[in-house]
Amino acid sequence: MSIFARKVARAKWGECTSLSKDDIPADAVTADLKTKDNALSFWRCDSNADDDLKEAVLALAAAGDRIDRMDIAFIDESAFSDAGLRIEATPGKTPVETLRESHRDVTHLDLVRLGSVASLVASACRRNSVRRFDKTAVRACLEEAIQRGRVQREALHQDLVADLDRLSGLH
Amino acid sequence: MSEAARAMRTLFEATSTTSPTLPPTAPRAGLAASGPGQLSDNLQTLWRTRLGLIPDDGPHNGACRASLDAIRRRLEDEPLEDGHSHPAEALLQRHLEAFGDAALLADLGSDSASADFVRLLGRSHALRQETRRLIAHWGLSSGDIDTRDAALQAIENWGDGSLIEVLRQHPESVEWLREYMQAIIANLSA
Repeated sequence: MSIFARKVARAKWGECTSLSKDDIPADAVTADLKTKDNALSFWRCDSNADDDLKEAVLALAAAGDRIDRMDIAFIDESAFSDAGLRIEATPGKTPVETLRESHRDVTHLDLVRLGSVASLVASACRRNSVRRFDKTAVRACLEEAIQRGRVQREALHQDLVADLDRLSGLH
Repeated sequence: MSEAARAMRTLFEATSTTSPTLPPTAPRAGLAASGPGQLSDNLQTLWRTRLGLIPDDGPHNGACRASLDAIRRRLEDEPLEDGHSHPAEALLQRHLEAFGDAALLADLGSDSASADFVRLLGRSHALRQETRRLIAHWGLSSGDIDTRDAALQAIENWGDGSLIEVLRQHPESVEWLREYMQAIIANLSA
């Protein structure tokens, strides 16, 4: 079953002392679900197996300018249509060309539909449908992609390349 | 001294590099802990008091204060995002060049913005080892998951093997955070 993956800050979706157990923290929503043109970006993966989720990690990490650990929340594709959310395939903003077509936007978001997305993400976090890739794992994803020619170093942000080189020197 | 206070003082001493001497202004009345969160808050207050960071004075005034406020405001304007640099990093760098890292410890608060502040500090390689150790202790002792996570991420970013013992002594209660901590220990030990 295909899933939609999105980077989140998992700790922000946990229980808050100031909220009830089932509440969705607004801090998490405003930090992690920042819309653009009333849409939210996801990456479609074949499954929630690590190797498939690493494709989302690669797409996201290659688009950044530093290497950090990454939390990936994954949600069944069908949950979006069940919630009445509209999905559009749009080119992903990543230097990894082969992954661009894996990108999906959840579009036409108003406050109510954004709330539906927030509920899906919060549910994913609560049922442990989140995978954390530590810094070493993210770095390995990038280095493997470079070695296999999936992405050129020149296509990456120069600070990201510097970070890769610095970390390689440490190990 | 109450049993809770003695327990906390023992923990405090166990995590300090030097033998602590609590100043007479230590908030002893607040030591009657009512739960893990309260204990954690008291412990943090004790650390800050012992370090002479309460009350605010000396370098924690004037230009130094303004510099820290500017960093805080930048973090409030724009959340820190994994994988992306943040404008506050440059402000922090300038702050460190001008004032050093001592005042940063006094600015560790208990509000929801503290996690991002710790994450920002975790992105600096200009902090002294002792400062990193204190930030790690402070963050890991927090009752807030986000702040503990930020402390772990800071340790991961610093890549400071001397902090392995701090991690090993930390009894993390949240499973996924504990797994992250174990991964960091493994990586730092490699």
